[in-house]
Amino acid sequence: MLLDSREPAGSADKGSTETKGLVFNIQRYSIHDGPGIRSTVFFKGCPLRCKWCSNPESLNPLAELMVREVRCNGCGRCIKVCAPGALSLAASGLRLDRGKCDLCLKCIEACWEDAIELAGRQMSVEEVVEECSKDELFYRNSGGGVTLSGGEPLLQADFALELLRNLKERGFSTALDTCGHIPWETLEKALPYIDLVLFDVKHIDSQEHHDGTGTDNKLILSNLEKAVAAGKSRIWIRVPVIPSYNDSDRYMQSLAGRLQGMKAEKVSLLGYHEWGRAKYQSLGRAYQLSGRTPLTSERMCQIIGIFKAKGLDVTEGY
Amino acid sequence: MRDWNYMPDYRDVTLFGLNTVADSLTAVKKVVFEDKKVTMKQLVEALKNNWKGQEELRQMCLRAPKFGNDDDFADLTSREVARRLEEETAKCKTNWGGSVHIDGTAATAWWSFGRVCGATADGRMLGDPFNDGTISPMAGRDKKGPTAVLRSVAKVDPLISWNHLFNQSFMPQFLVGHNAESFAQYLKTFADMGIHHIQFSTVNRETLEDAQEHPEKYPTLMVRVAGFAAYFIDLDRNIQDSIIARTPQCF
Repeated sequence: MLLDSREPAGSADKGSTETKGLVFNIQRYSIHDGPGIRSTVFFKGCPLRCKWCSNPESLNPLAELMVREVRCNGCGRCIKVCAPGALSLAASGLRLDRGKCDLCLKCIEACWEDAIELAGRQMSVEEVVEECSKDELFYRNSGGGVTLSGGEPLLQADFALELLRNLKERGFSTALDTCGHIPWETLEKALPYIDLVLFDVKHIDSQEHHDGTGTDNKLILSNLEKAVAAGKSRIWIRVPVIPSYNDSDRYMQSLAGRLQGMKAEKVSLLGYHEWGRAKYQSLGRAYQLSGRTPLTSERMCQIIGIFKAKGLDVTEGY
Repeated sequence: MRDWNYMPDYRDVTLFGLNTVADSLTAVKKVVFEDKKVTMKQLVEALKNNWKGQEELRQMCLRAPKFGNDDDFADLTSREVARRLEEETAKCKTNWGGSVHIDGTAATAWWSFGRVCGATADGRMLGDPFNDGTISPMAGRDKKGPTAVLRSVAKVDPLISWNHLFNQSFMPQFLVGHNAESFAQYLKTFADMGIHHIQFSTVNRETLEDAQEHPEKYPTLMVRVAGFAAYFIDLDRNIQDSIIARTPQCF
């Protein structure tokens, strides 16, 4: 349901488009975060710590450096300009002492190989809207639009809300990719400006959910039910399918049963992959889920069958 | 005998290296005139010496805005160069009184003529190829994805100078299943933007293997992985292997 988001004259804060938020990427030609050709805005900061997270640079709510060793040629120019002495060259490659780094970004300027990258940039609502407006024609031709993802967009509630409001004002279709672990009041305020919610459900058992993500699922499931009941937006439920965690027949049966009663439009199954592993290294963190093999396409087909048997509309990958 | 009504009444001046020229002028504008980092004389001297001992300056020029990123600062230079070339050639006539036009049908001349051209202010070294086709960005300098490239290309009017060859590479995965629908919509938008020509190549196994051995040659090689695209060289070796292994099945 589309809502006329234009505020009554005078109520809009004049400086509102100057509200700033921390964004780590705006991905154009994004075709897996909702229908059509979209631009996905990645917000930094997440309340969950899912062991399988493929965007580890999204977790920390502060800007940080990523060091891509594969690109480093060991020239040492970055070390010379680093005033706090946070960078050093070890036998294994470039080392960054994150405690010492003051994010002056001189190393990024100095590096000729683009081996150091900043994850997280303060952007105003206006800047984000401008960037997203560039592909307007693609959205129109494909039924696409703008997706807010992350991280958890609603952790930066004021910024996200202002951005959504402005995107709707420009006539763009909007989607929110959310982990659901946010105060209901925040989600409720945002819903009128969201056409489609991509709502993640990692595990329906609270203890298992805690083991996999670091928090229980009470708030998440209650938000999901309330969001469905509110009936303001289309809802796609996204399920990351993680080997030896939530991929058994039995679990999928019970999940499908649980979702059957809800009026979600679709279930999207997102197969586990390890593509984000290199990013953990560039952030100086350890990857927590080793030795899991992504599910075969035959197995994914079987799981899809379970959902179909319960009469649910289900797709893989988007 | 057929009665031919069509008489070719024009000759063309073949255009290639347009965006090498445009990126070079953009770099001059940025580094010499806006940032005032060096004088024009110093820059010309560096170019004559094929950037020898001037890597710092070359990097500055490489970091100036480049065509293909939907950035007017760079893209409008390309538009202006093409327009002025046409303006000049339009003043000429052939021996038979026909008109002369700028025409981009240069096939692979962008590569071979690049071999005999000295260093250019966009950061290109002596003997390196020019930009691909007529209007494709310089290889590896478009960093904002395919929609941004279309937007840049659409800024250079194909009704003023003609036949802009435009090549794009896609991974085979972009053309399968759900992705294929998006690709069709992408093509529809290409047409709506008034671009006259586009042709695609899909990246093959050999390229990916070469990128594993020489990552520095492929800074922007994009691969479609599961639910997203990523730079190939940033992926783990075993992930790269798995992508290579599955690629042929996608054709």
